[in-house]
Amino acid sequence: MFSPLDDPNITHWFERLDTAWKRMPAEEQTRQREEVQQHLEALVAAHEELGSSPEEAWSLALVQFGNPTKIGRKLHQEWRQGRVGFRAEMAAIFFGLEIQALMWFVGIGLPMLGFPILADVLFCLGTTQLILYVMIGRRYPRQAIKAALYLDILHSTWLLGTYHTNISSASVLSFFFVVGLHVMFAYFASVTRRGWYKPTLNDFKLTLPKRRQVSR
Amino acid sequence: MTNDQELKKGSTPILILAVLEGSPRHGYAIAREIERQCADALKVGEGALYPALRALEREGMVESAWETQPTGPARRIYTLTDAGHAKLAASLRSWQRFSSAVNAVLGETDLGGTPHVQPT
Repeated sequence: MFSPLDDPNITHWFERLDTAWKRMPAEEQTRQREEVQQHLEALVAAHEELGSSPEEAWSLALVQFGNPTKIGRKLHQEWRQGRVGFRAEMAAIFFGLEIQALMWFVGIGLPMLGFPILADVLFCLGTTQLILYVMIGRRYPRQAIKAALYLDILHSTWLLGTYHTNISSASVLSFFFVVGLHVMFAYFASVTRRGWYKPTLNDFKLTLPKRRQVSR
Repeated sequence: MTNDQELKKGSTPILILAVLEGSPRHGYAIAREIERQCADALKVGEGALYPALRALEREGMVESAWETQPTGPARRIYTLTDAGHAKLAASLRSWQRFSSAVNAVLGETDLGGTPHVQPT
């Protein structure tokens, strides 16, 4: 009885695919391989319905699917382009440090305006934000950068609202320091994709990553 | 690359978006639907669909999720996003303008490929 796992042509085809995308993470390879296998099995079933033997059906399906080396390489390229990786992590860390600085400056200013509890909350947020953004940025860099953009705007507004009544040389210096941090963060965020990143209106739409449902 | 191959490569993403506008589908179903709607005139390389789908997903035009099926293992289903709908509409308008312009020029060309030039 024909078994695709015993056919050297089929195993060689899959080996070529695995070789082409070997630098992708194992999890991504597994997901992609599963998708490819399901597609091939559907093609095989269609050819068998038309009267081909299992061996012929697999042979036709593999030809119909295409060159595994080319397909594997293209999938790897697409994965690389989608992977923001190191720069996003740097952006997330950088942003986390920036938010901490903002929280400290705002936290110093707010008690003077009479909002000590809010100042305490912001101190706590600032401390945890670094951790949150490193964790989020690693797995969901687009979402992390979007959230960073929103919070940048929000905290800049709070900062200006705090310091406009409490202008001093220290607050002016700290304001420009924070502005400098904003600019550097924007630089990191802009180079996380190929070429310069041009924000669009879609970047400001907050979409949470969907939970993957897998059950067998 | 032949002219046909170049045209197919460029139009694969838009064909995928057009098919997904109808309903969410998995990769194999997308390929079959393209074949059915084109009456087999455009056979998109089956494997080439997946890099195109990854690119569309990366650009936010499409999103995917593994969904359990009534029979068999979970399958990855692709759905058009709002951005994908907008992109499809814009691409259709561009295609209509482009094809009208090309048809207008080709309509002026005889079978030998020589454009009719009005004498000055």
